[in-house]
Amino acid sequence: MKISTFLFAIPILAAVAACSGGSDELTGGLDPNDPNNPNNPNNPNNPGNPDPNNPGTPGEKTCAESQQGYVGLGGLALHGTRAESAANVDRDRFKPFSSLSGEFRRVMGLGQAPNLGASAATFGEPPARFYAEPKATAVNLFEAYQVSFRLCEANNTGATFTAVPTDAAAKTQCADWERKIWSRTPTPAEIDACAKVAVTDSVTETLQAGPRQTTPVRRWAYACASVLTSAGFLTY
Amino acid sequence: MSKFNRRSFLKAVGIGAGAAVGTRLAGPGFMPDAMAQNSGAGKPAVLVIYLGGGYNALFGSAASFMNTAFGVTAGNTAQVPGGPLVDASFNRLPKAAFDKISTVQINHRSSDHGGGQRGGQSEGGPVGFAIQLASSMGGDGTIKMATVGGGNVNGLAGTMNGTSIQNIGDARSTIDALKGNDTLADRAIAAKAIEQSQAMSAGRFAASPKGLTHLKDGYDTVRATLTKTATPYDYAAVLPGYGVTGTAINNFNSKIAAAELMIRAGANVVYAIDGGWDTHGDRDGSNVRNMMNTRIIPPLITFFNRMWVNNTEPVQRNVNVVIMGDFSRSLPGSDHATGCAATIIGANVKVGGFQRVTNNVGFDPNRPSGRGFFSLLGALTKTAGAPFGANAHPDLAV
Repeated sequence: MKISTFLFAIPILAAVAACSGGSDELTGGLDPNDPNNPNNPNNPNNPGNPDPNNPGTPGEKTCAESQQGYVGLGGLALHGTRAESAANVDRDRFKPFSSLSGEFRRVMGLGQAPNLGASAATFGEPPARFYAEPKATAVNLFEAYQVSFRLCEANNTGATFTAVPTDAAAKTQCADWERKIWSRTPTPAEIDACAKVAVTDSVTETLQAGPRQTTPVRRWAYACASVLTSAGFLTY
Repeated sequence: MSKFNRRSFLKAVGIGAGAAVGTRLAGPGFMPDAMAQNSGAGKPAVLVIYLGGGYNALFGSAASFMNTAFGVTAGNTAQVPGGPLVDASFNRLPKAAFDKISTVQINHRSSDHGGGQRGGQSEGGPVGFAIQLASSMGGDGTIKMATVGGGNVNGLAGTMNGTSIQNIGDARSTIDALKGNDTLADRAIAAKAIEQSQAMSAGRFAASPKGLTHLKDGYDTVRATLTKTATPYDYAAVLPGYGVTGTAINNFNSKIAAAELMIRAGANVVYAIDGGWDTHGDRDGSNVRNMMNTRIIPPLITFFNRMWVNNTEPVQRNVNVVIMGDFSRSLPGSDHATGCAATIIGANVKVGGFQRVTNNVGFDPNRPSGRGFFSLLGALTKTAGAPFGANAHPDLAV
């Protein structure tokens, strides 16, 4: 064998050796029917089995339980400092400001996306070609409510919105909004929360000149904006 | 031409004397329109100017480098009476502020940016020291801890007793939330409506208990803000006072203006974060001096004039200013030192306790890191029950 051929073969042989495992590598070296095999579904200690205290949720392996361990230089585990977290939780994120205009258009059925440029600084939209994970704050939530209120007030047209909201009408309308805005069927408590704003919370507005009766269209707008300021709309 | 006679002279003298007596002896309560003073017994607040990248020790510990490094000479330094020799840029501040400048070491022993930031801000804990301080200071502000104009510092995170970081990106929307406006949705109704928004969000919070903490904190804080009776202070006049024409908080001038706005609105701790201070190769300090003189000092002069010297609001305040960064710059190449020589300016600062770095930007091994630094801020703000223990720098607080 030429020296050059031999040198060429070294990395290939090394790769083959690294990728080769025993015949039972995929089963962790244990018979899948062995009752002591932690991957055996009949083993009560199998972490993949459903949690008996919460049977609706299949038991999820944590990363530490499911990952392959690798030892690095100095005998330190490469995954030793990896953050541990339960699977399928904490996946919701705040929508970026750049998406909100289109989202308002989509859920409200508007002809064109509203111009939210005046709110960009409040939401802290990053400059072009930069990214920053969006976060909610007191001020940008209030701004989200104000924007929503204005859009609702301007676009809620029709007989429903010129009449003072009754409990029944409010529940019907709130259920409709929530279904459209959240893309899911709301719970009765969620419908009640929205209806309370229209029927109870928004009866009187306080201006600098003093209190006044809130007009029906604005009462509906207060309730509509409350749905648009919920996590169901502002997060994904 | 106006007449100047004996009567007008006596009238003028009498008014001047009365004003002097009113402000210095009787206090602001005696004359509602009198200027309130900044004093150690006033309503406390801390403005932290955080220089992302680093804060050269030539500013607070100039004597360490006299005629040897960073271009420090007698001609570009100034002596705080009884305190440290500092960069001459600080001598542009109002005398009342200049006379209360001192220097404190934050010995975090880290020369990487993330480590230096964490050392100064949290020492790796889940809740930043600034948030702990803001929470412990109490007060009636609903936004107790704010950043102005955004920016991130490692360790500046977390929530304590309902206090979390609230970023202020635009003065207009902030003032709307603080004071309301007849053209907007009613503040009180909005507070109730957002309470219902929060109730509707319960499912998402349950699914993302950590990831949506900021949203929960935001709901809590905005509801408290909208429920609180608006103060009569004319917040809209603050930004023009700094020459800011728009409302977006997008440069250092507007950040300091927003800091004043938030302190007047009741914030306890405000961070104004500025970038561009990772000044490798700035061996003669000319780059950092230029940035300090052109970007940082001008709005600070306005801030001190409005908050310390000519505060027209009838509230006596104790406003402290901190200038710090990830670390000081090392020698000879203006790289990364292992601690930060921070500048503190406050009515309760004992300037004589200043802590110089060595002429090679070395730190006293017995000095503490961020927790100790914030224990000093707790002492300067007279915060009862501060979570940092006893003041680790007793020589720096009166």
